[in-house]
Amino acid sequence: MIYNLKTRFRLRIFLIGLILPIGGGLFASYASASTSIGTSDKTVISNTNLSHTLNLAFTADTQPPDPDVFYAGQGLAITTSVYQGLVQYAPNTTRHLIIPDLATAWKVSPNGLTYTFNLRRGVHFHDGTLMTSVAVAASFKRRLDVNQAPAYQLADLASVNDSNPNVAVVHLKKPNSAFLDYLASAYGPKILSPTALKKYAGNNYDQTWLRTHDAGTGPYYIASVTPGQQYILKSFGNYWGVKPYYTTVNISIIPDTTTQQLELEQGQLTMGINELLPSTAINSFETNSSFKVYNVPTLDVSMIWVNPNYGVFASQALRTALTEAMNRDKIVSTVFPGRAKVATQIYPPGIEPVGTATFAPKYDPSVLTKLVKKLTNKTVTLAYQADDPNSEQMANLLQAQLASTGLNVQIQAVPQATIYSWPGNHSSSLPNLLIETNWPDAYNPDTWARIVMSASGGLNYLNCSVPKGDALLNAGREATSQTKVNQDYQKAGDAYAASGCWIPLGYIKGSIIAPNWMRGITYVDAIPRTVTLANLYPEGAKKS
Amino acid sequence: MNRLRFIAKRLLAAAVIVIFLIAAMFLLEHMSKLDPAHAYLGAGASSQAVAAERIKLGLNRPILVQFVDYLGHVLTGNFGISYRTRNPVFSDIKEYLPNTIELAVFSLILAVLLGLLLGLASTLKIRGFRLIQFILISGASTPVFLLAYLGILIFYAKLHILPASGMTSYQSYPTGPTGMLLVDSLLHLDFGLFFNSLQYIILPGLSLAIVPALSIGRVLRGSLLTTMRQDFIRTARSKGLNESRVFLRHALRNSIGPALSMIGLQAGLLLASDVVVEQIFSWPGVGYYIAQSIPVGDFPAISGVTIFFGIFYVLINTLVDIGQQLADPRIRT
Repeated sequence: MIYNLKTRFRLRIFLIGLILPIGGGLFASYASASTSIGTSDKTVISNTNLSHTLNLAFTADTQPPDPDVFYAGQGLAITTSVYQGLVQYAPNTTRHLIIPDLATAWKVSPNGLTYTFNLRRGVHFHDGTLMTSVAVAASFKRRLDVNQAPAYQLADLASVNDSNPNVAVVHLKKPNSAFLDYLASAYGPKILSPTALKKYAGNNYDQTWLRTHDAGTGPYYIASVTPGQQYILKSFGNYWGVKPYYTTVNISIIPDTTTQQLELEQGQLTMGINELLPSTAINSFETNSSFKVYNVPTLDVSMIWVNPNYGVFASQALRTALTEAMNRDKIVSTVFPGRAKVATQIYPPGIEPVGTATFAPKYDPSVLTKLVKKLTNKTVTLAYQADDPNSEQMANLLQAQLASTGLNVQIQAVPQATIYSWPGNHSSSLPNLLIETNWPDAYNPDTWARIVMSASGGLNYLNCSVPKGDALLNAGREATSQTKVNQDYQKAGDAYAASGCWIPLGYIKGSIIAPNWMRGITYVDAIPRTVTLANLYPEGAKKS
Repeated sequence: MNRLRFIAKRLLAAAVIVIFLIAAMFLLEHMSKLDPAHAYLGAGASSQAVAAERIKLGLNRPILVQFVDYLGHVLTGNFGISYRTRNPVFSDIKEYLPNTIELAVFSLILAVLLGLLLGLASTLKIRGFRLIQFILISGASTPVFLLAYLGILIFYAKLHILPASGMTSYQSYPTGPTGMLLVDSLLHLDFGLFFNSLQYIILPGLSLAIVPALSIGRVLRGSLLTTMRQDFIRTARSKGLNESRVFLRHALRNSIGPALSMIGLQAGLLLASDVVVEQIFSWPGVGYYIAQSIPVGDFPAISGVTIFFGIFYVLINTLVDIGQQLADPRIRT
């Protein structure tokens, strides 16, 4: 087809008309980006070293940041920055040390039934009201009224005497040696403004209001919540402690870890705190001179749950042989190079003194090999949490190790929600083995063994029952002498370890990725997936 | 009379399909072995709290009673409370849906523009059309998630032109009346916000638009080539009309029909890739919402979104059927 010049010109004009909207959009947005960064107070992007804005990301939208509802990992950066409890764990140490928070001092009655807390004076809630013992009573009551997962920590509460505004006297129905740990836990009872609680109670004890607001005393308050997109925290001007350097904390929801990694590399995100980037991504930051990877201690444990009810491992002898057949060193060092060590106790690290409640089977696959030869059905199902690449890698390594003993290991990726439905479900369709990484609520055996190992535990996924362990666990919780408490918990640990139902693989460190100019990295090992945001500041800056 | 009977039949069929869909979702929830009370309260909830929640949720009642109750709730727009966000699912859908519509419409506009560009350039054999064709065919042969990552690597990581995630860098912006940021920013005459959000929608929009663009372009090209050989085109030329007039007025207008049908088809298919693209670009739409709900077993959210879109599709199809019957009485059941 032949066109004359005029025709070609007109058609080209038409095509340019088509291209213009696309090209124009790109150009306009580019121009907009160039002018908006750093010049408009509405913009979020602010990545100079001395900026007072901290940009962080979660990989998923979190549960509501309501301290009496929240019971997850990501989101602790918000709840622990906004709310405070009576006591807390000491930072930057792997020692079990409870220090003051909103209570400056406390004493426990010899019978273990009464806890008297002297409250810090001059503490303001984010609504401007003063914190007194009335707030302690109201907050404890609300936790029981809301009655969600964290409510178990106050199950033994009898009453709170708030007659003296500066002293809260807590009475328990029975002694509970874990009570102070419950109070120090990231999921423990936080102190909320009774004024706000009364004002926004609605018909669900403030749960609607606290999805997007807060009633705490912490260094930050929740300035805005855009569901599924962003949380913005602002520093609280009337905070009783040291004012944070970063006056604004933007937490965006970026589900894709590759996108998150790129934004971190480009400086759009200031830090990576969620520890959910795959090992390969963390390794790439370790070799990047602009960043520093902080491998901070946590209470995270990668563990294998063994199904004692059906299949190959219904036999105690096979379960014991299984514990010896695994080369745990190899698995841990391959999956978490330099970021984990092999577990030596049945409990998370440091909860009980080293040398007690031990778990140190000698590596010897020959016993399992012999036992497997006698089996008619050598098939074993090994499940792992579907969205966890590290668990997948551990499952692959374990599959190879167990294959050498003659077992035919079939791997299944299972969504977390399905795994949560297994406790109490004694179906034969449950897998023979499960690999998952988890952490206790607090620095106390009770907050691990009671949930993971006791017969009614919410994370006793494969329904193993060790009555002797459960009885010792209960005895330890109700004991009033620390020696007796430790003895009972250690014996309970021994009983759980001997059952062969749980095989701790490794103690995993958290990986915090920060630019090399970031200072003030403060961790609390019992609080995973975050650092203390209020302590962060850039090199060369002074905290306000 | 026949026409009324036809409409009544179609509406009845639609109602039956919707009830079957709701029943299917209800049964799936019960077969999934997920304990709603446990999922709502969290893994560490005590057995007493779980038991109390089961009673509160009515899970101790006979399954038929639960179904009738569920049906009644769903038909009145009550899809339950999301375990994850703790909001009513319907209000979550209302929050996220405008973002999906905005992205889908933007992608479709891009797809139409690129499709027209490809169709016209390749028909007219304009210089450089092979490059456009190469880019679009390569793009359409690449999985959407790879295309999205490629876009992020080039335009965000290398060229620093476009952002990689989110909808805007503004902390505060108007949230109404449509809930679509581009539209609302224009309605509020906030051009800074408009260009800022335009910058954020381009990469997800392009990732979604490439495949439909190629389909539209190919159909248009085929249709154009056929039309250009028709007698009426020869007649137009013989009347002395210049080539651009013949092409734009006569050929294009008569060739656009198949391309329009393809646009309609691609609009539906576009939503299929939406979940992946929204997830990669952290675009807070319904796809992103459901992708976040699946791993945590948030069944009210999953079933709510499924039923909502199911009802939407059934309604659209019913209206199209009725419309066709009204337009052409030869169409019968």
